[in-house]
Amino acid sequence: MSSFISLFLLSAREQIRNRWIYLSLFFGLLIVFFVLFLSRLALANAGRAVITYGVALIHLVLGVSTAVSCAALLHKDSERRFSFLVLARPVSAIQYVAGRFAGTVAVQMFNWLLMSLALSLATLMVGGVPGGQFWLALFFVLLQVGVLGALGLLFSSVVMPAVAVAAAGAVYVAGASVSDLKFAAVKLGPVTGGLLNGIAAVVPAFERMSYLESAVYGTPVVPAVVFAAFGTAVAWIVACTLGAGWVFERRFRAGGA
Amino acid sequence: MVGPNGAGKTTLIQLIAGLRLPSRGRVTVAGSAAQSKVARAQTGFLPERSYLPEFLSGREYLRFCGTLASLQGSDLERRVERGLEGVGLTGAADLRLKAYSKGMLQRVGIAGALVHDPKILLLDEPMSGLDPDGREEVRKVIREASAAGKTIIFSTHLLEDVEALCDRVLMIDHGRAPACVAAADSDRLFLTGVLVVFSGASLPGAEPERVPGRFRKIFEDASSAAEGVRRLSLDGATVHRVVPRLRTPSGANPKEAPL
Repeated sequence: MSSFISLFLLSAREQIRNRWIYLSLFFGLLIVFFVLFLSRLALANAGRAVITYGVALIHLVLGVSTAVSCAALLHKDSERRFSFLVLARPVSAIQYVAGRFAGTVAVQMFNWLLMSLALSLATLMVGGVPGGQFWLALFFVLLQVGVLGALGLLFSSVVMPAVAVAAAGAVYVAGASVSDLKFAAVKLGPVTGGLLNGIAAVVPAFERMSYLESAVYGTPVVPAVVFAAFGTAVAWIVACTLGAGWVFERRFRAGGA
Repeated sequence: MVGPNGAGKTTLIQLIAGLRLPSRGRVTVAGSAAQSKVARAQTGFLPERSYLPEFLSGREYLRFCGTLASLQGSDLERRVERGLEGVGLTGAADLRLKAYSKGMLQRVGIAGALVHDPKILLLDEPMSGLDPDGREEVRKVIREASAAGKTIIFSTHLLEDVEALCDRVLMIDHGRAPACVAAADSDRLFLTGVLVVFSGASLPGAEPERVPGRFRKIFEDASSAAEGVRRLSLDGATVHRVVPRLRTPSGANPKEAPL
């Protein structure tokens, strides 16, 4: 456990040094100005426009930065022989990968908090109310970003970081369009339809982890569904991290990583 | 371990460190499989020119290394301080690694590899990229670790290191170990002749006791004919010249060269 905590703290410090915090502060301010500007275009409820664009922007900025930083982790460590330093000690590859991932995501969580506070401030400025559903939507943005980062990490254990980011992005797009995939599967032939249904079944259902509509229009949420979505997200994060550790260990010990 | 580039020195060190799995056979350290946690707890490893987190101070880096080996509390602090003292970096303990010279980085790297008190220290080209002063500092640290009872295995291209530090020399080439000799005998391999340059009158001091028997007669004859000798020296070979020469046509049997 001490190895995990040690790697977690080291990764968090490294990410902070990589200036992700400043980048997030910059984007946080940018989001405030941008959504305030967009809200002026709204015909009626400016608060809804602020929440819609704001949550989407936070999702985009955090999603990209998390996927990139997580996908680069193992590759960079191998190139710099830092993984040699760590794995020559009595530390398992899973502890190593999990610690590095957790530290990276922790800094992104802090970024998320900063950007979320900026957005709630912007919402208040246009007379909106950043209530429970607003924070629920933002919390699920964080979970989706965590899953995206874990996918980037998993893919980076077998391919180059750039390809891993692209692959994680592709999975995200598929996961955010599960209903569309299923709808298209009905319309298309059995072969293509089967393929689309297969994709819809295996990708993480990001679609069910989105509570933006509920935050904007105040539609009610069902606690059981929320808990199920939460559990799914956490399960994906854990599975991808363990999978990345398992694959990395095998490739590393065989001299391929 | 000495041998040309690509000979397999780094691979062998990584196998002993438990970082790689052998494609055939098995590697054991103190009776345990090299890749097991038990074995890894008994080895300390510093890769060649590896990245040390430059935003940490020397003290923080050693703490980091210690916690990776499950050290904590006062035991960890005691070992960190002892490690810093052992490599002569107590005064620079709170400086960021970014401010360290290459020699200091190498010394703190070795201290990090030793912080959990392993029995075996593995160093991959520890002198690589260091200036003469830096090399001497690292040699001192290696000598001290050796005096503390550690078994130290390191790879090098520099025969000076072999002469200065080693008890035994393993020559590696193309993944084979054609020779493993006591360092005292390494002159037999590395000194390939006596260079005598005649015509002058001066005879600079050579070291007759280092001349292998097969060359001693020539050396003594040349010395006695000092009248016409301008320069007299031993002709030392390089790793790149000697090790491939040891290769047998069918490939040496590694069993012939035990560590």
